[in-house]
Amino acid sequence: MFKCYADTAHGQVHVRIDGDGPALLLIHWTPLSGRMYEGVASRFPDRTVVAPDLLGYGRSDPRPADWSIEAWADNLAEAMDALDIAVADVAGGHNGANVAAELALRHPAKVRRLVLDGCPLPSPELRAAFQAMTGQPRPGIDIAPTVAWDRTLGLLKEYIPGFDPAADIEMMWPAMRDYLATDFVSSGAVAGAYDLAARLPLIAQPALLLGAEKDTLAASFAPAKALLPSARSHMFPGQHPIHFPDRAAEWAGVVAAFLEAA
Amino acid sequence: MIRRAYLDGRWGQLHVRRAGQGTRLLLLHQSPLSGAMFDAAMPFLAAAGIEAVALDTPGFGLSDAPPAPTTIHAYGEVVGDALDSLGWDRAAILGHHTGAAIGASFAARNPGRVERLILNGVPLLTPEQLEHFKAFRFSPLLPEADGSHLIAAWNQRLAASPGWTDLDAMHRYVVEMLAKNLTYWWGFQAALAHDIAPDLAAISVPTMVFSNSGEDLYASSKAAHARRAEWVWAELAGGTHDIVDEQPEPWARVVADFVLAKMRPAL
Repeated sequence: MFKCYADTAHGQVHVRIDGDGPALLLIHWTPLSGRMYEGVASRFPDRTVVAPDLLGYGRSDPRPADWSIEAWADNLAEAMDALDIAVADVAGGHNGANVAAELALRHPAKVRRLVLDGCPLPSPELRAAFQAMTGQPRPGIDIAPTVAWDRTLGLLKEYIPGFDPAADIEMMWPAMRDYLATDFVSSGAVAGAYDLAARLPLIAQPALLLGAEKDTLAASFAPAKALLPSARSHMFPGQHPIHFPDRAAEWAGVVAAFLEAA
Repeated sequence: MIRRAYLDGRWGQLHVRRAGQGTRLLLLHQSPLSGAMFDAAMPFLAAAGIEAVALDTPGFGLSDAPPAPTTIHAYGEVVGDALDSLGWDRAAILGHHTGAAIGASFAARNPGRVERLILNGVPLLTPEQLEHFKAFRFSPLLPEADGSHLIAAWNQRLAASPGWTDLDAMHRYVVEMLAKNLTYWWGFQAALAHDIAPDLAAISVPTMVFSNSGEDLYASSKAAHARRAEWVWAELAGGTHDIVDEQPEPWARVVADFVLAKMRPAL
């Protein structure tokens, strides 16, 4: 795993790079970082895996306050230029799927194949609630001093239903580091302002839709397939495998098979 | 404007923060922080005409860790890796606390590569100080399901920072410690096992001892300067080991004056 920064107009984008061959760009869920793909990076032997941290996350610079999914997509296109990556296969999960879809639509020449791993298709009510989200309260005299830990626990319980911190406590540290790196800035409003349902039907690249039975976005799997009927699809059994090191091969195998076939 | 980058070193990638153009200065941080401890002073150094590069010691910040706990002298050899990777034959070096031990080790062995040396808080520890530091819990920080280990980390740094005033800096530095929960203590272990006295005697490059009257290594720094009375001495009033955050502009002025040779070692 090689790490570097790509310089962009809005700041430095931190990038993890592994392997050789055609580029596979992996866009992380928020508020996590490219760190979440460290377990799968070595499982694409014929590809250069490129895992950036979106601006505002991980080791990248903070993002501007006035921001959008489109701005993240443009910023990644700029980062690809800085890294000399003309074209890539692109996979994004959850909010990262929003960015991946928009990268494919706004910069079609840069995206060869597209993997959308959990499509956020919130109801109008939920989108409105996201859009109303502003910054999370920062730790202070009125906030419990373990707030970062508590929020990380809440996040993992949302992403991994039935998550047990006592049994999986080693998963808490890296997630909390990612959470602290956000400096308590939420992207709820940015995600809520984006309407993926209106954009999915416009995608022209070969696409793969992924879901997991117990993922928080499982209910969006069928509607996403209806919006992009040309796409292949795969539903993972149980929890989403990307969170579990012992299921890295399962996730990578499905993605690699699509990239070879499409 | 601080830009970040990775260099190559013997144990993997070395992460740096850099700003400015001009006279070259490498900055080495205290344990268990990172080059980010110099962020507040970087703009002032840059404005003075210094090209400052703050190195994350291997295992701290975003630099890759050595395979096992190591020594100050081994960290010192990595300073040479960083200079090589920067393409710098020579540079001024400033080390703060553990970084001062690392910088002294490198300067004592590589006088041809060090233009000027600033020892900012010298860990020349008395037996009493060694006992004092041993009272801290230098061990892996293991998680508890209720998050109580976060309070323990907070209280640990509070206890190690008598007279602290900067809440934001305290938060950032506890976060840095948490980011290295299993290995953050390696730097302390190396520093406390290290005897800096032979390096102080061997250093031949122009050197300044720089401290502040409120910090925990003020007396040690005076004792270090007493061993080499020909070296320059500079101090700021008050402050703690977070002096760079507390008095960034005065701190940078003292550093820049020495690096740019506006002070001369007393004859």
